Amino acid sequence: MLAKGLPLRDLWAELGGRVTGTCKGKGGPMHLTYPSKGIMVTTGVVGSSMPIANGLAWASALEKDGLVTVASFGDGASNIGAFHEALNLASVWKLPVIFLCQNNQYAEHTTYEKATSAKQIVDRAIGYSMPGIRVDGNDVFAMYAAAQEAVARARAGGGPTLIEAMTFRFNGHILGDMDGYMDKARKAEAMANDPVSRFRRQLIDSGVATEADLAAIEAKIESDLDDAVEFAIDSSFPDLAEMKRDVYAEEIA
Amino acid sequence: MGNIGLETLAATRVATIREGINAALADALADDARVLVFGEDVADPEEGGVLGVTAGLSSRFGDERVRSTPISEQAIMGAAIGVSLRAYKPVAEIMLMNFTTVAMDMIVNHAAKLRFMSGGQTNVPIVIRTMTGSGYSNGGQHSDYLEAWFAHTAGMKVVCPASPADAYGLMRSAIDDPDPVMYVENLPTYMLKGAAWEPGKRIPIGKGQILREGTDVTIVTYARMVQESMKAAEALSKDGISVELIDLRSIQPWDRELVLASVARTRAALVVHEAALPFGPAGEISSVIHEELFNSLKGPVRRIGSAFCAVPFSKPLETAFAPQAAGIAQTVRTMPLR
Repeated sequence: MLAKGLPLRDLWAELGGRVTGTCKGKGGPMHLTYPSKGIMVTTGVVGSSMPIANGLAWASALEKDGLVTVASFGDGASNIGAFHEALNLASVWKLPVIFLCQNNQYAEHTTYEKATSAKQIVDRAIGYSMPGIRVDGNDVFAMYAAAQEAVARARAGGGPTLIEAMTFRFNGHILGDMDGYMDKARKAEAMANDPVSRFRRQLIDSGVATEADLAAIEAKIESDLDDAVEFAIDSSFPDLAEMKRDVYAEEIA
Repeated sequence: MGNIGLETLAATRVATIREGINAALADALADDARVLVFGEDVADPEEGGVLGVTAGLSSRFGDERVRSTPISEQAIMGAAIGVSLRAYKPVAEIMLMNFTTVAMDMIVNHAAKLRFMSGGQTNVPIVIRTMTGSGYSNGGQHSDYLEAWFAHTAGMKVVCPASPADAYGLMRSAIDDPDPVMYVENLPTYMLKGAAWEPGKRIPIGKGQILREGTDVTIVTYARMVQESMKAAEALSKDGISVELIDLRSIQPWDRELVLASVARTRAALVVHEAALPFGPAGEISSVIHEELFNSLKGPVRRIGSAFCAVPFSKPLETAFAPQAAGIAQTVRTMPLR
């Protein structure tokens, strides 16, 4: 969301349910929306992003505007009917859409092996006559290459791509979730390979940035975050009249 | 006899409800390049819908704008929502109202709520066309009236046209509307004839119509029950009971003003619908009448709906399942009307 351009202050205000949030505090973390930067829908229902992404992509196909829609979801979402309906339609209609599965190996509290019949998510692309790419989702460069290939295909009228980005979840599914269902050794290993520290090392090793450059960037991020949190805390909650607004175009009585 | 004016001639042109829906879609597609029509079998190679409601549209407007889909109700509704977020005006068909159950997440969690949850940044100007109704022995999964579910969902609008002109005018309003509208078609009355629409004329959503003026009792109804209630009103007039008949046309929002003004005059009301009675729209409507007019009523508001079972296949059971004119008239005769 932040990479797409959602302003940090608006994000934090929305997380805090404040009227200055992107959705006036009426959506919250599960419904972040920021159309001016292409963040069209965030859904709290597992698997529901995909059918809607098709519609956004259909608009791009009609307009021939070169825009590509990305539906982001997890490995668990590939077991819900909407995934299959959406991939089939996207393939039949050759829509400019990318189905981006972040396979973090846990569907809520349940392991991949226990809940998913496919050996790998990307195999499901075959059933929908769609190219599939499996990639190390924790490798920035590999992700960029995979996305570039899928975006180019979509723009050229070649239709959808399913990307399976392998990753791991460092936090629980819900707040206060102690990860009791996770294999401790597996989690420790994944955390040792944290993609952020990995990328940081890569930047220094390849001479793109110095330790001092990165420290400065990190300090700026810290201060921006402090500012955004403070902005959110200082902002007002929405007026109760907001319950009558945005239900329909016209305010309800 | 004097000359019949052109206006009178136009008003007496007769057409069917099915033609009214088709003409509204055609006129909307012609008027606005952002209108799209899609759903299972809707294009002409697939015969323009299983009952031909969309016949001719894909040939005239092209298969990019009038498009048949896979049998995938979630994908259909999702595509409608998504494309509408880019300012298109899709009319998506869910062939039968029972099949909305397959797409409830898209309709209830997304179409109805995105405007609110986005703080008004996005809206979902879609029309969901769907048909239903008992009478053709289509059994328990092809005939239900489920409008109460959608009327109960904040963000949704629901209309149930019962005449060719209303079918046309409500479709045009539904397509114009900036919010999601469930447009419920009654299968057994597709071929019902009536005065034709005036091209371009909208029927406002939320406005009912008095079809017959009366003084003793108000019957509030919609969809196919308009026909049954009209027959009942005619039978009752022979008994000296004067019925005022209201076709609600819209269920969400419904025309409280019209209903309350009528019942304030007649001081008696009966609400009739084909939806099952328990927790049906009649419960809401009768409650509002009681809340607003309790002291002036001659007796309690009565309700008639279908039996509380799946729509039966067997003909005698199916016939007895939905309200009929005789039962409606009989109920009115038991009401205190003096």
